[in-house]
Amino acid sequence: MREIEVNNLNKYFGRRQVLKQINFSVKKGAFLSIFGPNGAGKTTLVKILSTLERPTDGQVTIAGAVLGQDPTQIRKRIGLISHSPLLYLDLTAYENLEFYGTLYGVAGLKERAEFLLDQVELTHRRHDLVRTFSKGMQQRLAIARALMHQPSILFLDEPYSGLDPHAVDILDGLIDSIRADHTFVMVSHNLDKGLSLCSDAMIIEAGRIIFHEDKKDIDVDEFQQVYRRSVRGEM
Amino acid sequence: MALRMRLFYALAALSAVLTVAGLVGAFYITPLEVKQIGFTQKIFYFHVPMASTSGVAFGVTLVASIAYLITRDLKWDTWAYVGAELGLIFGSALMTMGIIWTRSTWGVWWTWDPRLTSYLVVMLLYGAYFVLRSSVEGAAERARYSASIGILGYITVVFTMISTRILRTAHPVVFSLKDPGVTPDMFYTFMVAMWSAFALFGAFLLAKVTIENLTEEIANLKDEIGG
Amino acid sequence: MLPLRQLWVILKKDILLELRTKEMILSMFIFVLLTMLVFDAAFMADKNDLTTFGGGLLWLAFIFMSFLGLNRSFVHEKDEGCFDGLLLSPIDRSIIYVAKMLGNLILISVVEAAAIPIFTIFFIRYPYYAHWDHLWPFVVGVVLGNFAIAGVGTFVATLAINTKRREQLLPILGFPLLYPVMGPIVIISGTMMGGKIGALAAKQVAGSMQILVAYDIVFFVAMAMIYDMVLGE
Repeated sequence: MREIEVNNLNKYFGRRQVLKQINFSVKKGAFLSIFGPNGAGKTTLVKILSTLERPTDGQVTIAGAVLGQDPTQIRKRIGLISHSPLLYLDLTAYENLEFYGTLYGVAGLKERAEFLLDQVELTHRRHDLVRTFSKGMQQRLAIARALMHQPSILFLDEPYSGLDPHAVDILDGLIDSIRADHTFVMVSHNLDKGLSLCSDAMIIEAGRIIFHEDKKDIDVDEFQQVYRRSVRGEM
Repeated sequence: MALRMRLFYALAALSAVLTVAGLVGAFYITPLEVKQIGFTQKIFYFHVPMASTSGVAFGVTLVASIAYLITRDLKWDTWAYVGAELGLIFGSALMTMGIIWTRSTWGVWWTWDPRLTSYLVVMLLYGAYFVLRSSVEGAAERARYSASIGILGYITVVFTMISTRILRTAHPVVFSLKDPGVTPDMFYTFMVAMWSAFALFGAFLLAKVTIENLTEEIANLKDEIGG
Repeated sequence: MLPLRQLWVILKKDILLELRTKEMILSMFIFVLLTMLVFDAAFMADKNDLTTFGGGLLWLAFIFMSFLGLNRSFVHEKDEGCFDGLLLSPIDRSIIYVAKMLGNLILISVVEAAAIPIFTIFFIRYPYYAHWDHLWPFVVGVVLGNFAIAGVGTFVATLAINTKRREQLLPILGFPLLYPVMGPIVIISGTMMGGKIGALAAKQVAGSMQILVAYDIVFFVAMAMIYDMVLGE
């Protein structure tokens, strides 16, 4: 069963084509890591998959729903953890979770929020304003926020950037605990992290997929060479 | 493209002929209006068509804006802003004529008459449309944002016309085709002038859209050869 | 009803944030008072009663005060990246528009409720609109005017925040779009401030009310409909 299916996806910003003929699919329960130099189109791809940006043409199916037909259905199923925490600084940790939980119509809101606050080890600070949190704590809360509605597909856009080691451990632990019944798509510059977590790896360069393979078929040295060449070529 | 060019030449030629005919009609054939304002009445053969044409131009913007939001095809964005541009050009011509007429007839350069006020608002509104366009980087975003203003702008124009007419004491209609004093000469001259303006607008519209498309194509070709 | 709960939770969040930070309300209130200082400077208000120009002056102050506040209404969302959070959630875009618009409407109305008595003390010697039969049309006019300002302002502020000109765009685009209601709200407020209302004035007020109501409905529906397309996805 395929959770994400992308067929002949193209995206233009004006005359500039940022994604060219993208084709791939992600199986349910898989973990796809996407690498590539800055400006290759990785973030745009994630934005399209998470319904924040429209494709110029091509067909995208997420969790059985066609993108562009019923965005609400897709939005209920996906969660996004990006480098910006998407939190209101002048609301408390609990209020932020409550806010997003209500938007998603989460049942058993209070229990779910308390449970997640416990998971990200923020229960003792739940009634403090997010403004007073450290960057690492904000990121942990951002993870809890993304999981509030129990999405089955998670998009991670550079989730490790700016995290302190403690937050990295918590994120690792969380990903591990939900790994079995979730599908992941992660964009990352962190080669080691990305490779160790993933089940499939992809490299995008100048809007094209130049590499996409199952992890067990990947020769790590060769992969690193391709990646380095691609990143250097861009600079 | 070929058809569009042929249409352009046809409209340009038609407009040239009609404009000359309109000028001859206005200054040599039609009688002098004597009841109210005399010679300056002749400006209306060209003034009114300019107003109608700029209305049509902003109408093009409205229709193209709606078409863009539905189809998301950037060609409609081109039609929308070319329409607005021509609306502003015809509007400027209209206001210049209007100001000259106001001065010679009423002795002042400007009066807050409903028509003048409405047109000033419209010009500022579509001026702001271009300010908006110049402040957005991405083509799709720019097209989306300006399409929304293309639509809301037209609604504003309609409301402005209604509101200024209801709330201000409208000045008497100086020249009306239904006026018994209007001779057949006057009526036909007016119609010729009207169609000359429409033809001119059509020619400009096609020319400008073609230019924009070609510019786009050149840029694409340059990209392809890596220039 | 999920959509209503979503609407309420966004509105509640905006009110809560404003109560906590008082970011907009304070600057809007001070700005309105400062405008009144300018009116005094311009008209030497100590010698004259400004009732004649009252309607115009009142709305001159209110519209710029509103733009000042409206410009901030998306800054929270944008700077903390929260707007993406809103857009990611399974919520109809027109609900976001209506919720943000109601928040702005409340904010503008609160500042005006404080500013109108002060304006009256400063500039209106015989405040006829303290009497009920002048008061209710006055209040209705103000509410209808605010609805238009908050509606157009919220829409344009959404566009403006995503452009490189940001704050400059709201007055430049918002003012001409709001022009059709400027005349009507000034006429209603001004007429109610003055004394006896003649037949012509009464007719003008009635016409103004009709234009205001029609404008509010048409623009509100149009903007709620195209908000989704403008935000894109």
